[in-house]
Amino acid sequence: MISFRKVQVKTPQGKVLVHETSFEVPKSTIVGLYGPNGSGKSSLLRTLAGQLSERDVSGECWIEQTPIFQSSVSISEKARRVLYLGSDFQTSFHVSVRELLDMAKHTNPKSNENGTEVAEKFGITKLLSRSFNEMSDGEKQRVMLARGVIQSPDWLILDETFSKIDLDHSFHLVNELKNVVKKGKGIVLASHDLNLISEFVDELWLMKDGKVVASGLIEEVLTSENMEKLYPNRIVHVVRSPDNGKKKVIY
Amino acid sequence: MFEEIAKGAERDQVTKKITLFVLIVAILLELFLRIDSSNMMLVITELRLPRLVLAFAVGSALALSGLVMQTVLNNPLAEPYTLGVASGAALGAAIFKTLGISMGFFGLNVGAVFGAMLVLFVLFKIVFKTQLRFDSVVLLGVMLSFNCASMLSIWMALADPVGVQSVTFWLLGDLSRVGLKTSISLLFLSLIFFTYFFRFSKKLDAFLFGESMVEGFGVSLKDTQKVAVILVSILVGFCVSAAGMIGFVGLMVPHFVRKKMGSSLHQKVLPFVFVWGGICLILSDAIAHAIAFPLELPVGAVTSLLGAPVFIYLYVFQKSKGENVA
Repeated sequence: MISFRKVQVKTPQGKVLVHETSFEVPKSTIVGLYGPNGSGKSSLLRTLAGQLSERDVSGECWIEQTPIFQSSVSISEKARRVLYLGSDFQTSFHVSVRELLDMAKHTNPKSNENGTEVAEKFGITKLLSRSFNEMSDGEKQRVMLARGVIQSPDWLILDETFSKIDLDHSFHLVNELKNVVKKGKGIVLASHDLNLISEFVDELWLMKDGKVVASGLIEEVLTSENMEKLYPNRIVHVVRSPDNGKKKVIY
Repeated sequence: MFEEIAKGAERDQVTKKITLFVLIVAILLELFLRIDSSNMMLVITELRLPRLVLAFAVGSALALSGLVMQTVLNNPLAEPYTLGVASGAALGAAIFKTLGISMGFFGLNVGAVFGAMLVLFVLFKIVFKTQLRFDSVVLLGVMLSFNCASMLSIWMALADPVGVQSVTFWLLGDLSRVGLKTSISLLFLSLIFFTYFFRFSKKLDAFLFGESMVEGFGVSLKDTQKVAVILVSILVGFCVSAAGMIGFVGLMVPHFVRKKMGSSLHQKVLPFVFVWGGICLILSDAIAHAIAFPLELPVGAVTSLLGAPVFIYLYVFQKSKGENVA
């Protein structure tokens, strides 16, 4: 369980990035963050991942029974608890995909995930001996997601990590992320693709100007009224998919 | 998949054999090239052997430092010379020497370590303070290097007008100034540091995907960088104190080893970087004292002559491939 109480995030210059907010996310849940650019999604995700400096965050942030910013937890232990993945990955060196996946396994030797199996599920078996820096952005994102699954942290924090993945692979990875959650892990993600995330997130949080303006089950939160709060000048229709009845947006 | 691994192992074996062969050839060249047969034994034991040991020690240490700096800064253009660490070391050593401060380690000058550390400290401080992208670091390093080199020239001119020629020694490097004892102690130091980095090669691997990913692999960014800065300062400081500034070994060797091995994982490349660093400087030194015989070229001139084009190649080609270099 992640629990935040009265958490506020500021820049070192004092600008508020995320206004005071409190919430709890139980394990085995997928939470999706949605909102305009600069609404504080990444700041919130990076706070969850313990990536910000403690000075910039006030309030209480806990994962399970330990505060996120507690220094007594070793960095190697932290990497087994929370893993933050962004959307842009670069290396200046030649590292093969296989080597990267081995590094993930080494980071969490207790992980039950089998590297070869995960690679197959993410459709990256053919990429294994390729150099990471020679791949397309979408391939890099798929590889990094596979790495995240292999490392098997308690919480995966995905900050638009599938923004460049094609339609077909997106749906494959949706299934894989659902499987991860079935094993008792939690995922918090940010994405601009509402129609994709509506396929698999349990909860949807809408953010604007550093505030969570609506949160709860996606069925309840994804409404035209709430979309209007985010984008008052746009008309966004919320409809149901004829295939599975899930809510989708048209604009 | 297994076939590929077997192929990789076979390739590693071949690389090992080639390395050993080239090492032996380099040693023979350094010892016997252009040698006067009348007092051969004396020349070998008194002149060439200490030089050989020093060349290997300095070469391996510089290559090791280059690799570590490249990794922790995520920048293939980083190395003691381009980062200004070598100039800082030269300045520190020259100041300590003319002031007569004789803090030392087997004849090596501790002032050089302080100089190197100061430059790296300033470099990292600026990088963190300004959130400068790590790849602009080399530009910063080159500027620091200019600065230290000119301070060195001014210092030598003011403090030691007679010894002003020795500026050349500091700026271009010379392997003939120290005895066998100092050379051997430097070699030991280099070996100890190699063993350390090899043992913690997984920590270095965590830096391969940029600084933002380091902690995701369970490795402390700041602690590892701190340790790297301190160890590299000691290593480069002592190298410069013994042999002056020798550029580009730390740039060329890690690059070619990574390319040849088809990997950047440190467990694989560190041993080869260490040995090839040694080989590279032994060969450069053999060229330096044989090519214009009986005149002798400064060894740093030879390494820069070969190294600068490699730098340009790396910059231009990696840049055109869209990688984040400088």
